[in-house]
Amino acid sequence: MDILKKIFSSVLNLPESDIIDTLSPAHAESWDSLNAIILLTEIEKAFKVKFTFDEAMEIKDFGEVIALIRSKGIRL
Amino acid sequence: MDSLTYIRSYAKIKEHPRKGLLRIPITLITNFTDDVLEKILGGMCLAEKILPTITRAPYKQYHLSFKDKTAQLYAKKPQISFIFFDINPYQHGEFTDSKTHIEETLSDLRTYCDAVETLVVMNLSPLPYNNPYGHFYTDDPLFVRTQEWNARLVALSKETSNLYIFDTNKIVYQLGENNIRDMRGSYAFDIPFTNDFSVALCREWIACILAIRGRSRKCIVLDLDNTLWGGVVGETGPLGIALGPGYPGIAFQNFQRTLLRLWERGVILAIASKNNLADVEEVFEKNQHFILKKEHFASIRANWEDKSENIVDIAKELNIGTDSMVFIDDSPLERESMRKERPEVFVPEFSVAPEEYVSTLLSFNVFHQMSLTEEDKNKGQMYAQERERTAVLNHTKNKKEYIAELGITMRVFEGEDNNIPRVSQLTLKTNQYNLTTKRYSEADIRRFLKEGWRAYSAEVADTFGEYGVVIVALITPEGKDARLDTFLMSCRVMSRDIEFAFLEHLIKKLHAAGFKKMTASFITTAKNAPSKEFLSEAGFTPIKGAVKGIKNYTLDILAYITKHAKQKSSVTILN
Repeated sequence: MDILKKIFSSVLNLPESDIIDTLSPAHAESWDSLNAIILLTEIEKAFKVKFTFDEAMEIKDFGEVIALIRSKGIRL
Repeated sequence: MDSLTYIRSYAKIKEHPRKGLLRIPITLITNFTDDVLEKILGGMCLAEKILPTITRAPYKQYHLSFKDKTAQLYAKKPQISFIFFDINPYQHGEFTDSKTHIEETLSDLRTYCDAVETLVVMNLSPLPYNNPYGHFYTDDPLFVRTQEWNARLVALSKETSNLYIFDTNKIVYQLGENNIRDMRGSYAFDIPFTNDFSVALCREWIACILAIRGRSRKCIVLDLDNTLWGGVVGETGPLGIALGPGYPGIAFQNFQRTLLRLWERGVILAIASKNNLADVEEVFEKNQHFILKKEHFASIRANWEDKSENIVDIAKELNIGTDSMVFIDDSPLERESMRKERPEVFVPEFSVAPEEYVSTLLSFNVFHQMSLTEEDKNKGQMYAQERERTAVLNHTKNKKEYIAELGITMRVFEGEDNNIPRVSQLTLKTNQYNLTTKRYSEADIRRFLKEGWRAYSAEVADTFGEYGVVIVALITPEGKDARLDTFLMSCRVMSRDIEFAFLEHLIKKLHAAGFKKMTASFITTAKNAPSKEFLSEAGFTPIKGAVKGIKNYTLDILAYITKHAKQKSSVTILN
């Protein structure tokens, strides 16, 4: 979970305390389409998983990111 | 550091600007979504204490931007531009489909280079080896097209002095064609490359930025035990160390061979070792497997002092800054202590097995220069000659006698006769004996000549050997005044009165050309103290009311000529 929060905090330039389940593009200005792509590739690299394009596009908030990673058998 | 670290530090700086960083305007032009590339390049600049202001051409509008001289690309006056066009191997695209596009791009590139006048780093396109033609990959039309495009770029660079080519295929070769592309990113967002590729590419670009700012490293200071050979010579004796055929000795030999090749292209080598000097001398004398010879080392410090003190002594002896040095030592303790005491020295991680030494050394990418000149290739030899000169210094009584015994000769070049790549290189590299520290590309100097500037440089030799072109003066005519824009000298020839003989020669030339007065400035930098007194010593008069860090001077040319008419210089001018 620490790694995941660090990725979000680094890419979105937010303190780690702001990275909560309800964090979403609507709340965080820096969560734009470009940073979404960086988040995607960095998460894939860190956890050695691969998401389909549709899976990635359906994400609405940080909580869903956690759920998606867990669905790939990764323990967070 | 990985892409994430760079991306984060670049995001932070935009919110909280830091002071004390060197600001460099950079232009980035590609034919894909290059936002990630900008972030990585930006973060990497910050890691080198450079604050980049990066301007990018709007997405897919590079043709328009090139043609519009009022566009941001031109308005921001970049100090360096990076251009990279990808040929997507799996789908139709502008570079794949039409030769007209390639011709247009080449023409735009020419226009751009002429307009910006500063360095333009053009990347060759990755060649698609993985193509439907299998083993006959070179017959694939796309492969042929890419090769042609790359060849045209190389040809263009030959006739455009500020266009520099970087072959991106070096990175493809290192990472593998299968690891550079992110096809999902390419199709969905037009980000065709992996972050690993972008990091590797930006590293090469950073090497160019450091080179144009005179920040490339010049000297490697090496440890001995378990660095240049295996084992501890003090315990095993000169023949007991691991060096020679068979593992691990052969790994150390090949490490030495690679150092030798760096030496051949102009990197200075030195030794800082905690050993008895006699033990080290014995290895040089008795161990036939030692690839490097004593003459390859410009300085050898084998003693029990702190290495951080030894490295300062070596820097003084070689007349270079400690910030142009790399320290290689297998001991984590020594590395840590060096980093703490001398943070300006580059201390790479070196806790790897001997067989990894060569690839680790080659991965530093800190010795880059924008051109390799004859002077670079002879540099190692020059330091060996320097040791013979020191022997003369030891038996002569004073400096004057020493200079006379060296038998220095000088050949002065003027205007177009100058070796312009070398003159530019000296402005880029010289830090200590440099009055104004202005960095100029070859294109800058050619432009100055067109604008009527006077450029002088001189090739220097003495009885022990040749130094090559080591001194430069660039002069801006301002009516009857001649302004000394640049005056610099390589630190290799300091303390030989060469600068005074050179100045006298060019003042005579200026006098003959009708100039009455010479004006000059000394702009203080962290490094140029050795040249601080030059103008006063040469007879210039300081002008009061200087801006902080800048001292202005003036000189009456006729009075100077009259005064020097009878003095005999210890340097012989050959032309």
